[in-house]
Amino acid sequence: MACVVRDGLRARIVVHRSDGFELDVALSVPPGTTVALLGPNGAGKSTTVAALAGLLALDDGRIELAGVVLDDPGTHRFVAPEERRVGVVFQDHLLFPHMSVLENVAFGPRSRGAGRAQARLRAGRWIRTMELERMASRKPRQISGGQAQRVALARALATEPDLLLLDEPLSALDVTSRAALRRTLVEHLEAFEGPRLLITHDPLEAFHLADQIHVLEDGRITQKGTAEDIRMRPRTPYAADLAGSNLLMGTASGGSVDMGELSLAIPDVGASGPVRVSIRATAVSVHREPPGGSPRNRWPTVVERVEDHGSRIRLLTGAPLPLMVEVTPAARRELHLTPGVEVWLSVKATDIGIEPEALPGEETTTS
Amino acid sequence: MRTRSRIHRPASAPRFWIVLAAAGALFFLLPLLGLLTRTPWAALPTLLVSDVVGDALRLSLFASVSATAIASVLGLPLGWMLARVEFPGRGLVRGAVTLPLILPPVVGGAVLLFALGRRGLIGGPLAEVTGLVLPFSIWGVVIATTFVSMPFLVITVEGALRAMDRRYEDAAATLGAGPWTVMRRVTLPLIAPSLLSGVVLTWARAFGEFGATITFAGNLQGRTQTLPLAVYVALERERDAAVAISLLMVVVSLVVLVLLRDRWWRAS
Repeated sequence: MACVVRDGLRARIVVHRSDGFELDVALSVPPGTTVALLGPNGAGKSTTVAALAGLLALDDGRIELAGVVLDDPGTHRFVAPEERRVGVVFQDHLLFPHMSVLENVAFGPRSRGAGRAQARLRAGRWIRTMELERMASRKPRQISGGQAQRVALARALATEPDLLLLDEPLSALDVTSRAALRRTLVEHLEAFEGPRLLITHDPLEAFHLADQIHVLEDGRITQKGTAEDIRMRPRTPYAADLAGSNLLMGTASGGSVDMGELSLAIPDVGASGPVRVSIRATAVSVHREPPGGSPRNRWPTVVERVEDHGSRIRLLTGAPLPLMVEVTPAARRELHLTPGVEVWLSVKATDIGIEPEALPGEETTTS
Repeated sequence: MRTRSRIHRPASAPRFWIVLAAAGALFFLLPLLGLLTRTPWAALPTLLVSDVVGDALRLSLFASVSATAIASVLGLPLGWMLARVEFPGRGLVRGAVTLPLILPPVVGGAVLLFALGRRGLIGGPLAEVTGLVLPFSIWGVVIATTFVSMPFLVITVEGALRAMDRRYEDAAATLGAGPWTVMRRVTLPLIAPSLLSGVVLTWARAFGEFGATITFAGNLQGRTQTLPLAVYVALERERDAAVAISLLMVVVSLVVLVLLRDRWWRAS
């Protein structure tokens, strides 16, 4: 029953949209792995989904899935969406409202030529896998968001695709059920042996579900790596922000880095010249009095903004080094952190990430 | 998206608003009342079973149902093309299709006569080759009726297709459904409520058709005289018969509209 996937997805997707937007990304997803395409709105995520699913033709590049070329403008090859073996879990699920849950899941097998009874049989298996037996005869509007998400996944997998595309699979859900469903989604994704591509703007979703993360900004992939890579060594301000890091530029020499108005002690890794300096938002300590003890890096500043994100509070501090700092709600209460309050910040030298600045042109080479 | 269970508080309105609404309703209810008071109830059975009325009712039902069927078979693909395909001259086609909505029906009938009449652009060759003469025949009635009623179907279908979320069709395609399967199993079911109200509107317009029919098909009892034409003739000669036929049309229309409204109109 399990489909043997010889090759994963290999694609270079180039699309010139009529509004002037240009998408140029290279993707490679081996079978059995989940790659997340993480980017802000308008970065080209939906265009990538459309191109892979065959809803949009490439202007240049090539899409190859499981050894089959799906789109190649160079040789005028274009496989229609209904002929591709790409299972898509759409944003807001797009379950057919006039069909029952079972009919929705059976739609794929039925469209690919299975008889009515056989299609229902195959759908029934996925209904059981996703534990949806009790709602099989309900209409999509009679089930919860989490159940709808499982139906959407079952519907996509019932076609036995060679690629699973998840387009913002959790964005239609509220915050609390999102956390629970992220966990079940991990388990269910394991059931699919082919390559999996997750499209998302939510770093948590990418960090939890994906083996590899590609950061997509303005039509280009700006960074590829594991969650750890992105968290520790973000290469763009966007990646830094979503990873909860501060990404700054400085000039290193020996065991310190010159940040303009402030000089910070860093681990002496022999870096010199222009460097990227990353400081995790949670690595910065906040005090009301000048802190004693080991940290050599400490300076007074002012809290400029306070953002409440529920279990964590984000502070934006002012000169001499504007930073994003994360504290717990308890710390905010204790320290009376409100905009305008004067505080001391401290960072351990070992909590400061240093990377030589990329040479111009280095980022554009994508494998 | 799911706003079904939204709770509305009872509406309140200023008094003059309610008075205006009542006046609007009376504008439609009073004429019906007038018709009922004028109805010769005792003579009604005899009036309604006459040959004239029987012929006209049969012809009206045949023509309106045929016109609705033709309008559906041709109008659905046409509405789809207008909504989905950007072809050269689309604006022109849309204009031509909607023209019968604003054109006086008599002019519509005249236009048909010029084109399909015995000496018309199409009618001439048609008569020569097949011997078929459309004007003043039952087919003339069907054509005239279709001409004025089909625009209702086309514009409802086009509007519904433009309003629907096309991503459902994309989803169906990625699941392996070809264009025809997408149309049959996704598109049509999703626009079904609008499509059905379009069909009802089309039928209603066809059932009441008068001007184009009398111009293009004439007014021959048993061949081209539909109920509206029968009313028109009776008004000159026999008032009671005119009232009886009018009442018949009101009842048939009401029955159809009420039956369909509860099932489909609400959904659209």
